[in-house]
Amino acid sequence: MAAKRITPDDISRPGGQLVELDPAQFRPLPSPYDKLELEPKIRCLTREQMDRFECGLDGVSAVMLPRPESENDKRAMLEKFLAGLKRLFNGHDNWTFLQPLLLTMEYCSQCQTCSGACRIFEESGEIEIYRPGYRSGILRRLYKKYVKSGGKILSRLSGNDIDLTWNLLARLLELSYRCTICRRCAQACPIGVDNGLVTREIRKIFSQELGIAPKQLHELGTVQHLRKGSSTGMTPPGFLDNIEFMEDEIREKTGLDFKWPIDKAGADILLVHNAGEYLAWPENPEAFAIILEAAGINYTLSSELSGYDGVNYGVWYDDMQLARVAVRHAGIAKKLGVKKIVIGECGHSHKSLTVIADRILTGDLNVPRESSLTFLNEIVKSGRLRLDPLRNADMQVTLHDPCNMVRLMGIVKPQREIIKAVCPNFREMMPNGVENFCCGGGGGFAIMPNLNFPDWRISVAGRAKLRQVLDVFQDIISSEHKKFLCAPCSNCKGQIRDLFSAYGVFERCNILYGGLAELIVNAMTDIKNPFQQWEWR
Amino acid sequence: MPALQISIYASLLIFAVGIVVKTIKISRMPIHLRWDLYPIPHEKGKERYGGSRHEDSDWWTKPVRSSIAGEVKEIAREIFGLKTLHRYNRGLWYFSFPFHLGLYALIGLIVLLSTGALLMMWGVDFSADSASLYIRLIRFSTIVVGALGWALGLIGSAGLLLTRTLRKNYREFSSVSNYFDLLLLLTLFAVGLSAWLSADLSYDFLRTFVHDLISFSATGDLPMLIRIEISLAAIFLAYLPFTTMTHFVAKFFTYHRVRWDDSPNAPGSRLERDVVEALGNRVSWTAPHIATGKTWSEGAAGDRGEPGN
Ligand code: SF4
Ligand code: SF4
Repeated sequence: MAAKRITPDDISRPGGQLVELDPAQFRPLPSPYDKLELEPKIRCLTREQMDRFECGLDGVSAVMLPRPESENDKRAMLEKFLAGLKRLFNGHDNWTFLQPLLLTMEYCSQCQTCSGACRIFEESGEIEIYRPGYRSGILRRLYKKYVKSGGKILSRLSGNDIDLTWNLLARLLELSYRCTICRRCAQACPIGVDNGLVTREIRKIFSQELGIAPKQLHELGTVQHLRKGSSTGMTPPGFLDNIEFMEDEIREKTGLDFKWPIDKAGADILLVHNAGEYLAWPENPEAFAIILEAAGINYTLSSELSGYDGVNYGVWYDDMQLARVAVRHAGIAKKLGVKKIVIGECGHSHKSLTVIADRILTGDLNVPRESSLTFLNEIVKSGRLRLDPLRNADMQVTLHDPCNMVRLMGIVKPQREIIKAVCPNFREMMPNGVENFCCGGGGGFAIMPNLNFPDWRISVAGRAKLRQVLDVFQDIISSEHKKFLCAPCSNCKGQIRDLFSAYGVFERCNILYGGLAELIVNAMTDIKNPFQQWEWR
Repeated sequence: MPALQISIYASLLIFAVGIVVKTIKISRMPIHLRWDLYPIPHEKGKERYGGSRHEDSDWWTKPVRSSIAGEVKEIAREIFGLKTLHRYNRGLWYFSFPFHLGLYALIGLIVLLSTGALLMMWGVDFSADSASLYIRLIRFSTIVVGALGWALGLIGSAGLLLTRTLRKNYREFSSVSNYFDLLLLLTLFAVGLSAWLSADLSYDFLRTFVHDLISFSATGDLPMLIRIEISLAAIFLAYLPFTTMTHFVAKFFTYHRVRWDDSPNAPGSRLERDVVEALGNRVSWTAPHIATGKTWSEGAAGDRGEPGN
């Protein structure tokens, strides 16, 4: 069934769902997923869930916004939204992004080039509400009507009127969580307009003015990170326990017996991992520890509150939270007196701390920050590790480019140089590098398990990545060939894990995923047994 | 002085003031957080594949290898080849490219007409009978450039208008002004072409009009089509600063000040001073976790902005 053609006017209208999602309408996948029956379902919300939470956009709830109890509640929220909208376009309140936002609001020429670049829009079978310009068009109309002087009359005259209704507010909130902020659309825009930025700015109105954000980003995310130490809920003692566990595991796996440096004042480097690694993929921080130990690097980890978790979820929804986490990280590095911070395999940690927070960290908080990909590449090139690429020869390897590191930071070559040095069978998926496709877990999606949102994230947001992976291995897609997708980013790995597991990619096609450091350790001749375990996790 | 001339002076003034005000307004907006988007063409040696200084270990200790030539090349490709559109939306490029080329040719036409007008002012014989090869070359170029401008502009704007009208994707996202802008230009190109073909093949009328404008002398009678052509040009000029067609101004900022702005916040730099100043702004967002009333620096130092944090 083709989706009903939705126009920007529809977002305000009362009534139920704007769009019904039907997997038959999505772009078909390559073999072996070219049969509709292999398509995972997008679960319908139960009656009770629908009664409790707003889901009038597409029947999916990412944010779990409770339905307001009274008309007064609705009115109060609409007023706050309007106040937030005005702040968004004020230089004092939103100095952080006003210039790019206003340029985006004022200069879109409606050429629709961005639509072809957006994988969510394309893979969904071109569902109108997922069009990059649909979301921006709504904000643009609101801005022109409610923020610009004379807006009410001019909007009507120009035929771009819009009514700020409760339905609009609830749908727009959800719509701001249907974009991974991968900024592929911005890259394709001939004017330089940035629809990805618009997504984040809409999220900001909700968070910074109404205090509304997905629980995993705010309450369990940045707030927990700052107060408890990690968005995973891991406390400093919990972190130290984990380290002990991983030291034991390294001993068992490799026979190497060494202590990880913790809170070592005056070390050259503070290494910060995404704490999710310690829990979900401990082999990644373990691989780092093995490499750094073998290379004789003078580094440390931090056990201080927030210092052992490099994430910064503020990058997805809130400037103040972004600033707080960045300042916390920089403050810890300053206290330890390190020469630089090296950021582990986590894309958004890279971008938030190195690039975005660059204009937040001043004076002695401005501790230099470097990517672990660059850093690992230097170690590999230095010859300090004894490497035999043939130890990785039993598998074909491809590489996922995390948007945050690649399109948004320009780190393209180091990871490729490393892979080529340690894996003899490397093949690039297309497109790659700065034109890559997002894994579908960007913008905070990978850590948002609410209601039926993961189903949408897998079937729609992750579809392009799955297609790429299947395409690159299409000639050896059967399960007798070992294939590996290297994804040097925790969030991407989380998304790929869920994506592969929903489609049964490991069982059906024998494609495993994992980080980059593990491939290096797997090639180290000093380690007797293979470090890389060929098992699903 | 005839109304036609006055309308051109007025529209030129509105155009100039409009563009200057717009440019100043955008450039005076506060400094923003970095929001790089790669490839960045000034990343010398890395621009081809989209690499950056972040690929180098201890990048902050290395000299910045920035290439102005890289940027100039990229800008030229954008302006004269509409590179991004060509790469990502070829269907539209087939119309947008001639449309823009037509506009550039018409700017060329104005330059050539002005050159002729200036030479006339200085007493040079600019008639078709001039013995000077250079004069004949300028006259000939004026005709060719003008013809190209009108024709390409006409083809491009008609194609763009048709695309916008016939293709659903475009139609549903187009505003009244999107249509009006194209229609206005289409009419201008059509009238310009007809005026040239029917009344002013050598551009002597238009050149004389430009001469009279530059020398502030009252212009004589002009054929009707040329009068309409000039009036439309005046309307277009005066209207342009208030439309999205000024993306030629915006693009400078979206590219240089946003996508390609990778200037690191070096300690002690002017940029750092600007950042410190911006962090001194008071926060007025009101969500519970925000440090409402505090400065951004104070807010960022706390764990949720409560007093004492
Ligand atoms: S590509 Fe840019 S100018 Fe064209 S519609 Fe998209 S945002 Fe607007
Ligand atoms: S940022 Fe990415 S997901 Fe969002 S609209 Fe643009 S291309 Fe689509």
